[in-house]
Amino acid sequence: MSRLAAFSGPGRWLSEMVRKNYYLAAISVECLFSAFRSRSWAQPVRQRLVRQILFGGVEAIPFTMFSGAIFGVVLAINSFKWLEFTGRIDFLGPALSLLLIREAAPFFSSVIIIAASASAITTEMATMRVKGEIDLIESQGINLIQFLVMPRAVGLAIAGVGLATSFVASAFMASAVGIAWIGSIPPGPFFDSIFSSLGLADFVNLIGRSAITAFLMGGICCFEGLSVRGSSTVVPQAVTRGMLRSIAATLVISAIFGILTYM
Amino acid sequence: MGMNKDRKTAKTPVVEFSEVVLDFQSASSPLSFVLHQGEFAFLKAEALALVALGIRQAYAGEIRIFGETWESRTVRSVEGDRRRISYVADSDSETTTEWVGNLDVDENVLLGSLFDRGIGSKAAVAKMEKLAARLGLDKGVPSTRPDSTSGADLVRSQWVRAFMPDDLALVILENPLEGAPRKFIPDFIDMVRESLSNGVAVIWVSGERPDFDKLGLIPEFDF
Repeated sequence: MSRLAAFSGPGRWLSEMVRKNYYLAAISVECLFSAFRSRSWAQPVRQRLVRQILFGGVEAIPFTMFSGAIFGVVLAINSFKWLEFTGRIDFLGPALSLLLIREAAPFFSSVIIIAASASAITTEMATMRVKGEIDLIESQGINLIQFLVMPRAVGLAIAGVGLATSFVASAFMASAVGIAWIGSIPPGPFFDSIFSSLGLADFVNLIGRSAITAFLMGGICCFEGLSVRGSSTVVPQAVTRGMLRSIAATLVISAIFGILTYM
Repeated sequence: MGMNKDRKTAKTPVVEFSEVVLDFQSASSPLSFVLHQGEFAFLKAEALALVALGIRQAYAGEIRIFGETWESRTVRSVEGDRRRISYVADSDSETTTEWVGNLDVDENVLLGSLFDRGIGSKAAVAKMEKLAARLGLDKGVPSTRPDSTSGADLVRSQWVRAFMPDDLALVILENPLEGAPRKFIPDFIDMVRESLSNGVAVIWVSGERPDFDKLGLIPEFDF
């Protein structure tokens, strides 16, 4: 009896995890199918999508470009020094494009979305739930996934790709300046070596990782926010759960893409 | 197909409450009544719209809308039938919310209609403006957040929203005159009367029975 009791705690945790992930998967699939139906895009949904792209993407571009520039310079100088030391300076372009496009840009765009949008979306949904606004929307025969979740998830996916692209652009610009300064390599040959090393896998990683991760984050944060029951004191807990699960989703998606790319 | 639907709605009651206890704190006796098209009922009760709409569970009893319980419907049919029911939420209630805070009042009023594929957005806006003008909102339904809109405008905007659905079958009015400008109450009552004559069932819910004789409304059912 006591042995069985020892398993009950982890068992409950596991079943809760399975249940949550099942609901999340169902919401994500429903979102995806809704997004491809033109009738899902009623005027309020389109307005919400535009706002989400604006708040989650456009407003985060300056910070993304700033962090991309800093990261680009640091990465370029480090890579230059190590490749110069090992006598493989001709690998500078491919190394930078691989590190920036496949790894850094999707990861940083996800981190920026988690910081800027994940907490905001979870707080918004949870507050709406606590205040009874979700009941009001449902009472008008409005599909919550269509009105609340889909535009946020799709908006974040578009914002994610945009932010990752901005990150790459500013990182390459800054790294070109850095390399010209310390390595005396002019920008022309530097960009030539980068562009010649680009392949399909780079674009698939950049777009796929940033879009899928951001899309899932939209679903996760809406799910955590809408799952709230009770008073406003439960809102911060939902925000924490939303952010932690968003980070977990980022890591899992990165791992899946990494395995698929290099297998 | 449309005819079958019409025939079904004409014969089947719009709403049936059998032995319904709204919540565990409810002091009143269980509610039982049947309301058909064009019938008007007054209930001395607390807010019940969300229970009638199947958003919240009643503590006891069964509610049927258009002859079916909410649990027996598909998701699409739940959404479709809820679009045919509107309500004015009691502005004094602590359990219901009248507005979505991050939308303007006019966006709130239009929200349900913009999801109804039967109505175009231009037609919905035109209808909103027409109803608003009837209720003395000369500048239309306010394009401001509910938090920064006057109580009198919010009450009239709720009235507008209640009569927005094209295929309206049931209106639940929870304490609808609370905070309303007296001058426009007759216009609102006219709209209620007009809806009743168009076959819409109306439930008026409030803690105190209004003077319906004075308002010019006669409830078929007075609980």
